[in-house]
Amino acid sequence: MGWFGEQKKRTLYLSCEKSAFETYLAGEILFPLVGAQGEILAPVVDKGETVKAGVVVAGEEGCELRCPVSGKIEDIGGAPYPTGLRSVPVLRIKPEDPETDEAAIDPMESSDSGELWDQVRKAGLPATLAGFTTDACFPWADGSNPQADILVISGADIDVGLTARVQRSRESLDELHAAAETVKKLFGAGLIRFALPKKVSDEFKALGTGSLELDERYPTSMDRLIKTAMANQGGEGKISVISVHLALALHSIIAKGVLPRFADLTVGDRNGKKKNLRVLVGTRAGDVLQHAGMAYESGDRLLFGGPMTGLAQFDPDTPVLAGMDGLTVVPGAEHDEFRSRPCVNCGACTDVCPARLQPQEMGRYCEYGRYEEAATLDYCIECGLCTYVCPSYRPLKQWFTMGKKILAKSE
Amino acid sequence: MAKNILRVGPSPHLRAGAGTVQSHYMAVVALVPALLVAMVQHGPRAFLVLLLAVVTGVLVEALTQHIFKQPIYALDGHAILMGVLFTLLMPPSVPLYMVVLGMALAVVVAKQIFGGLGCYAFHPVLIGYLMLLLSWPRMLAPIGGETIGTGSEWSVYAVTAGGLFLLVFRWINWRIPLAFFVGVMASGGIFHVIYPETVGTCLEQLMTGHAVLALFFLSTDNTTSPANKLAQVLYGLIIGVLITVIRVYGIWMEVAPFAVLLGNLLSPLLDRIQPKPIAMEKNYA
Repeated sequence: MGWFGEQKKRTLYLSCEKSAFETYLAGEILFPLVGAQGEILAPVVDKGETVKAGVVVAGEEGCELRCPVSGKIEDIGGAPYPTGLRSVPVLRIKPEDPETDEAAIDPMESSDSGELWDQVRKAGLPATLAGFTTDACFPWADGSNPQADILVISGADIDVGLTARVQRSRESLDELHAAAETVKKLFGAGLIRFALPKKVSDEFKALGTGSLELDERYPTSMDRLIKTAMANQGGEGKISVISVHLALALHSIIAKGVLPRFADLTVGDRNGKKKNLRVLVGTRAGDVLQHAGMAYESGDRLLFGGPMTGLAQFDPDTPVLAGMDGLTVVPGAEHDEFRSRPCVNCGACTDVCPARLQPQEMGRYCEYGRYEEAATLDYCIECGLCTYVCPSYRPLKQWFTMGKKILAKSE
Repeated sequence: MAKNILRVGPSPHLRAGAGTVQSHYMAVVALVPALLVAMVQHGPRAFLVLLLAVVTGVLVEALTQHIFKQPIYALDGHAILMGVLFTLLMPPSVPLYMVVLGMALAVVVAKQIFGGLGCYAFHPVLIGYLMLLLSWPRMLAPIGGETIGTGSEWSVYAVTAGGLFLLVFRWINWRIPLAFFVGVMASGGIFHVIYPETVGTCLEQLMTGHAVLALFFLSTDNTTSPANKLAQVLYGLIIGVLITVIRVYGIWMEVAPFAVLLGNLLSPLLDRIQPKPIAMEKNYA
């Protein structure tokens, strides 16, 4: 840690450089039998059976889970789940022919948003797409049909160092055009916009629908801030944001009947080296790292996602889910334990807060469990910048996340 | 081969790195030129005062933290910085027991009783200094008014150099010093026009006493200054204006401590001036 340059790192920039995807087909995948709301589903297939891509493998009517990869079920066992569960039931599958597209369900035809959603739900997709955590789309398992006046398809990566979204947008330009039409119908949206980093928006002129140019500073590409940017440009009505991956997945299901089998990951090692990989859903995180030639050491953090918002994993056997965009190793030295000294009111957090909150005040309330008094807790977008810059090493974002959960529970 | 063990924890998993400890030591480093100038001008006695102030500060802090059953952070640099600032405020002729007493008061009464770093309401060094000043005005403010930190214009230059160093490397906030500067210059200019005979030019206002020390080091103390941008500007402006107002209408030779303390008093109030959270402006649901 140098002494002089420290203060300059306060601004984090998103990357959008070109780095083509390399496909990695793992010899074995783990397919977790977990539903849209984290519920464990009972398998309806047996060990030794060969399943075709898209067949229902678990759950019951109304809450079915489809496996997007065809292959032989080697075993039904347990594996860790990315949200931190120690062991959930999984199908251990040996994939067969994963490169070819196989229509698993009937393509859906309707110009009515409600009807399309009904078909999507009937096909048992809420669980299959649960990895795409977007507030525009979820909870859609509850029976409501997501609608939007303006639908923003975000091709901008959320976290620092990730390029999966922007690279996917680059590589699927033509398909994106068709996908935009499909999701426009699905959401009943009057207007479609592509949110893209300003630096590379020239590359996407061909999209034609006009783009929403985003600053390359973290966290401008978070859903809530994209909505703000859209509204500031005069967008009226309900604005929803979905990722480019979700748009392509929905398009592939609705127009072709093919379930999304691949997750696009930006894999980053402990030295900051990056590589874009296209891996089968269910691939073990450890296998991905090994394929990329990247290692980790004891005390490192292995994250699904990027360093600012990623979920730390305790086991490299944890499978990758659909909709994930990164796999990052952060060296242990980057992050000593929080020592939580008192706030010195320096204002660094409120200076960087993209939601213009007062993290120093909220932090003082949350530190002593007075969550109700931290009135603006709801407006926090949990980008973690306050915690990143805090010179007293206070776990601000962690307190806010906990406070929100506790408040939600007490309601 | 044993498996590598991963560590888990909630995001974010990165940190910008600069801590309060570094910023305290940086401020001490920035004051080294001023201390050197002081030692050249006032001889070994200045060094003795410095040594006594720093050692007392650290020891008393460690002792109080021990008594208050707090983790001991006496070497986090803040007690050392307090000792350095305290030294610069003392007259060279100050009795040594008074240095010990003043520093002990500053650490115990003005800092630790409030809860230590981050919790005190007023700059502890100034409280310690003012307790001595109001109790023994003759000894603390002898005729001539010279202090260890203000021997000649060279002291001012040295403090300015240190302050600019902190500003350039962003160890201190720039809004407060800038607004402070504007406040002193503007109000100093106005007073010079009103009382051209008795009040000096605005530059003289800045060069006299501890105005520059207050500008870069005393007013920018994080704990006692506001966190919001507009509030910081107002805070700096108010202290800057107070410097000249107290100098013109007050009875004290040294005005910077009073101005900064009055600013500290307003700081929590000023911090109520907050921007509206983005999500509250429009409903983006």
